[in-house]
Amino acid sequence: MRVVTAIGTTAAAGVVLLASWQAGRTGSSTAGGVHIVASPGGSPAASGRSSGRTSATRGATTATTRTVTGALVQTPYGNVQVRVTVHGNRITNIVAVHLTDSSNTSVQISAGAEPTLRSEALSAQSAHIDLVSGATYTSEGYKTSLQAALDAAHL
Amino acid sequence: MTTPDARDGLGPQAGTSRRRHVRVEGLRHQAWRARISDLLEVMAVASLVFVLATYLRDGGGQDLVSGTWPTALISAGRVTGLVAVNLILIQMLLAARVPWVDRVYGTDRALKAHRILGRVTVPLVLVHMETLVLGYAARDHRNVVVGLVIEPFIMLRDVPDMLTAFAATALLVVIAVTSVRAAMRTIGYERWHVVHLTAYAAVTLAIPHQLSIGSDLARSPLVHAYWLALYLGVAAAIVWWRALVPAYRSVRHQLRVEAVVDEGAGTWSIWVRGRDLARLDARAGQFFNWRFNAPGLRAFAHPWSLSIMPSDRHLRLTVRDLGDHSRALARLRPGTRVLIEGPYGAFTTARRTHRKVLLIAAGIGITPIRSLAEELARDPAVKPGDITIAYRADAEDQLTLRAELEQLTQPGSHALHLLTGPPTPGSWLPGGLPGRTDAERLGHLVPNPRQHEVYVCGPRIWMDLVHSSLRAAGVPRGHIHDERFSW
Repeated sequence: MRVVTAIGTTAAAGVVLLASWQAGRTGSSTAGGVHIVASPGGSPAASGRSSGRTSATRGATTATTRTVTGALVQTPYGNVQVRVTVHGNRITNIVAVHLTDSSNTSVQISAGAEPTLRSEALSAQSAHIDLVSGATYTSEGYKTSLQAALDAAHL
Repeated sequence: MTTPDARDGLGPQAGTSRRRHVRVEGLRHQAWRARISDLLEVMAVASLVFVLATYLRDGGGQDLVSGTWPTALISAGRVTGLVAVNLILIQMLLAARVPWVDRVYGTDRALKAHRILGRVTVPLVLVHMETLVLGYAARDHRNVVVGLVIEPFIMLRDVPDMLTAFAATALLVVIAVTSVRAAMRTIGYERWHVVHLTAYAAVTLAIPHQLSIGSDLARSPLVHAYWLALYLGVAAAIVWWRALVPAYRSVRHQLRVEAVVDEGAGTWSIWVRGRDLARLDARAGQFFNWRFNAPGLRAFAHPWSLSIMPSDRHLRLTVRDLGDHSRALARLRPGTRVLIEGPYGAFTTARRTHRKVLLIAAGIGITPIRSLAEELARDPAVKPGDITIAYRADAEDQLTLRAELEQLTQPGSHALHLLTGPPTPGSWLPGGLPGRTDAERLGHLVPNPRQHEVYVCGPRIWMDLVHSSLRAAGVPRGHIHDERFSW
């Protein structure tokens, strides 16, 4: 390669890679291809539906049990959505409402990954959990939907 | 053959303008090569940058540097896989005999690059596999040793298309191991070639897992389209240049063995007759992959250089007895069908910008040198004394094609140095020549080597010695051309 071409190519490559790195930093909260498409109840990310009594006074020690449905998250392999049961400040249960279903393989993969994701999230008490082998999209969708639900529940 | 006297009859002016023509044409060819090589290299770099950019844009770099252990490992697995596939496809293009690549770099250089890239791609694939296995194992809270052993089986059970992916990796490892020089020599060209052809299967077997679980590919339609285009482009180039074009040429030119001539010293010349061979656009110094439709020979195509300047009716190759295959060629019967792939190689006079030419050959490396000498000797721009041939062999009786070379360089025209004698350590020349270094000894044989365009063909290690003595004698790198025979 001639020197001028080499310098030009290196510079261009450097700029592109730096820009991509920067884009990756800002956009890393949600992976590309995984989008929130709907949130039942109309709130931007999730809907909180109270079942049971809500505490009347701020700072009251009475724990309440609430069920919050997370965002409906679209992935290339189908939609993912979770419903979270929260008791006080604790996540007590997570139920998958929707899992990837674009093919039998997708159904199998997400059905296999769901128990792991659920137990990880319950023990972590958050949506900060690792991805499950071979179920990247289910995991990403699961985390995104769960995070939205937790945000809505103000956890 | 035109005699030197007849060429002199063209008059000094005609000679001068033609000589300028050599320089102008050579420089034009160099500029073209520089442009195309820049284009090809920029395209290769751009493809890598594109792949890395999409990975970084998706937060891959973030995962790698600031993710948890499993996330970082999985991210490393993603990027090594992406880069490995991209490089493997480039590797396949380098070996696809694309005419641009061939004419710019020469098949020998392209295949050398292919070889060197292989030392990167196969380890990358292994790193890709191991980081993902470890990443998933860490995610599942298994320790490293247990994870390395157990996780692949869990992946086989739970992750789609893992069986084909593991099979592809295993094939690539076998291909890499058999391509280590020592292993290649042990198993022989034919077996090595069969193993190497499974690379196509390996690349194909790796595709399903990329599409089904390769999250970087599925994530954006643009990346998906790019990947598809890359695969289709490479596949099309391989099918077109490695299968369809050679098949068409073999049918079109109706090549048959005309005669097999014993050249002594365990070498044979095979004369091949065909029709409209000028259409092949073959040049002296190039080679074909030859396949003879005879028992024991039709399974494999072998690369041999043209040993005469190709004409419209005839091609000729000269083969040294290097094994069963070359020996079987001696028994070829006239009329045997010949299938060709080629012409290949950038070892031609198109690269020449100097009027004076120094041709250096050792052993059977004389074959392309002999055809170049013929083309140059017939060139009206070449004046008597412009061509110097240095021909190295272990003994006088090993000098294949000697009579033809002597005819091309008959007294009063060009110089022929027959350099015979047992190999001397650290020198490409025989012992007993004046001078302390090879560069000095060369200076005695060829006055002013730096004013020559130099073409070298012979065994690899010998050529390295020639190359360094030429450089020591002041010949610029750009004026030394060689053909590296060893597959």
